[in-house]
Amino acid sequence: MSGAALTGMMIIAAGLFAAGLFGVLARRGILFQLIALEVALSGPALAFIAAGAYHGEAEGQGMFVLTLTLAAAEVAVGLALFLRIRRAKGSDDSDAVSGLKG
Amino acid sequence: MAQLLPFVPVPALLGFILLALVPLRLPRALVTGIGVVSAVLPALVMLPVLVSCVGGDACQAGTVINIISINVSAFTAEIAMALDPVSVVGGITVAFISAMVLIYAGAYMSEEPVADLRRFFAYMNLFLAGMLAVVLAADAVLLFLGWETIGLCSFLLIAFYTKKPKSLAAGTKALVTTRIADSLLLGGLMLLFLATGTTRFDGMLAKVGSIDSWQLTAIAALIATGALGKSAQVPFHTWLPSAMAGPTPVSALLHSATMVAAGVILLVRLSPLIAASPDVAAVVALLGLGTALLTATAALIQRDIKKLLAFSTMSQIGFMVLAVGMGSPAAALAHFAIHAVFKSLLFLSAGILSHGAHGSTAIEALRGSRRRMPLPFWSFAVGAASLAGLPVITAGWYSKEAVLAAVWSSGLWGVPLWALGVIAAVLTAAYSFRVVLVAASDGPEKAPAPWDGLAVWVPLATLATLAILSGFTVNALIGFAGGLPEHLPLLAVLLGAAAPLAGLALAFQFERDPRQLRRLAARLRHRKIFRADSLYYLIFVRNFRRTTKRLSGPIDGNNGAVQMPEPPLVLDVVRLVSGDPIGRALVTAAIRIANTIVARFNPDRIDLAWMSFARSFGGAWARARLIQTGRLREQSLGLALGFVGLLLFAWGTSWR
Repeated sequence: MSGAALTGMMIIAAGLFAAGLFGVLARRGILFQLIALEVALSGPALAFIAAGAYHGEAEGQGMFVLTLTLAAAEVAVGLALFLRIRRAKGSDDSDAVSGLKG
Repeated sequence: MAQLLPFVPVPALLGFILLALVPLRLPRALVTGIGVVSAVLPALVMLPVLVSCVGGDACQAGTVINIISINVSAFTAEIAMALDPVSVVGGITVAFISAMVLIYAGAYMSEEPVADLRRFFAYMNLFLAGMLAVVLAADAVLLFLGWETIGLCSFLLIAFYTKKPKSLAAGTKALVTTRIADSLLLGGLMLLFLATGTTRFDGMLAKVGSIDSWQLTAIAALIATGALGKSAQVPFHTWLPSAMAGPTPVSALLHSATMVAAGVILLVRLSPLIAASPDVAAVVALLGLGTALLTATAALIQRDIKKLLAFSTMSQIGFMVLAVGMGSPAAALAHFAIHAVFKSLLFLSAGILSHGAHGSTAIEALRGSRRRMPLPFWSFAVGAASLAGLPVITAGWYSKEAVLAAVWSSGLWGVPLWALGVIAAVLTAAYSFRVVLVAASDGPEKAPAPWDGLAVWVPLATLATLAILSGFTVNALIGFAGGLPEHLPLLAVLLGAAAPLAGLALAFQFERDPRQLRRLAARLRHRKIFRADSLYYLIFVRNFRRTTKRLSGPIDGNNGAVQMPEPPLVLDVVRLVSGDPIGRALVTAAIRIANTIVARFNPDRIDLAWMSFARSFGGAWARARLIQTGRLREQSLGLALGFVGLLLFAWGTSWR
């Protein structure tokens, strides 16, 4: 893998993360925010893979597997929370859940 | 005999400790006895030292008796006393005059309606001990110690009548004015120490030549200012006339041998330093001459005899300062000794005369004193003649002539300065004889002084004799102090001798036609230079008061000052035993501390500023909590922005 390819991969990774972040910030539905979070997480994961391939070492893939399990755990907890919130508040609007207001 | 020197101030100090600290009620007679004896003893201890000094050469060369050395590895602070002409002449003068004044004070104060005679004699003895330390010191440490002691004691003695607001104010004025000068002196002595590396005067003066000239000028100016402040010279001259609020013996001591003379003694002792910096010496001489002229004029228009004597003191000290500035410390020392004799004589006689006039110190009240009290009158007249310097027969003439001769022969500027000095001498004679002429005139019969006896007559007679006879010792004194008697042309001598006579004629003129004097007084009183006091008040005191008022905030306590209700002191045994005595006592003590100590500092401006700073944190917090909306999207935006900021920071700091 050449340096130029790595730079391209990194730009794609940053774009994925930015798109995910935008999704989290722009959408109000909790489910959509969770999906956007997944997109955002895939950006760093791609960056790990690319960096591991560029250096020819296995740590990048190892980190990717770790990120994957992390994302799975996060989705599990997130979906459980989503169900609880829908049941408690009757809507999936994240703005309605503002119990931490100062 | 030199080893006796450190013991000279000891009796006075012991007298102070005895009177101040013995926890017994002492009868008045015993208090007076201790006070007088412990003030006479230093003179007796000083005598053998003087005798040995006149005989031997060791004293001429200057011997230093080491008392204690404090070794701080980098340098050694030596506390020592010097046996040389300056300290011996100064020491015997101070000890002798103080003994005479204290003997007189024993009689004077016993009739004075004061309850705490003990306090008076304790202060007087401490005053004497401090002054002896200043005069005999051979190092800056002991000198400054004594210097501060007499400053403190002068405050305590001037403000002796603590019930009178006026005397308290006068004491405060004296303390503050001299303290300003003292701090400058301390700065000068410290700089001198840094430049020479020793606290001993002989070591300091030996190295004067090797100090940078600008540094030397600064040191000499600071030290000279300190000395002028203590000696009440222009521009520090305002404190001395108000210092009359103390008892008469205090004035007699303060004006003759101690306090104001301390500045002259310091200047004489450090005269090589002053002489090494010609600019400072010239300024010192001009200030001395200016003071002599100004205060002699001011004395002429006084209506109060004690104030007149105060102004005359400043005028005479001005002559001494002039002599030091002109490079003739020996003449200054001689004039110091003679002046101490006749000035204490004047004050002591004036005390009796004004007592005879029912305690009034107005000059007009003295009319008829000659008939009423011949002996105090004649002793006053002798003192006044010596102050005026009547030629040949009085001591004052010889010493003043020595000063004027030193001025005459000091070079190009000598002659005009000499002429100004002669004018000051004319004025001196005029004001001193005016009082004598008023007192000699016929007046109403009033009661004689209520106290009398040996304790009054011995000091007066001794001092009067000395004021006449000691003139023959002046030249010997100057030679002893290491100066050369100057020889003047005949014309200058004759003019100098004519000055007191001219002053006498002027006094006659004023006495015959008092309206002239009154017109002169009316014209002079509103000149700015005679109103330095009110100018100082306007410029310094009022602004200082305003500043403190502004800083300390409103005085009324309802601005945040929390005065907790104070529970009554628990002395009731039943209440003490019942309930919780220890806890109660703790709470009482805490509230008491809060009310007495904490509440006193409570509402002042600095505190308020600090509290408003603290309150601004509350405001900042209220604004900060608005950011916390609790919405997920906004929080994650904040998270992202913070993260971007951190990344930018990391990128920026690792940039190459």
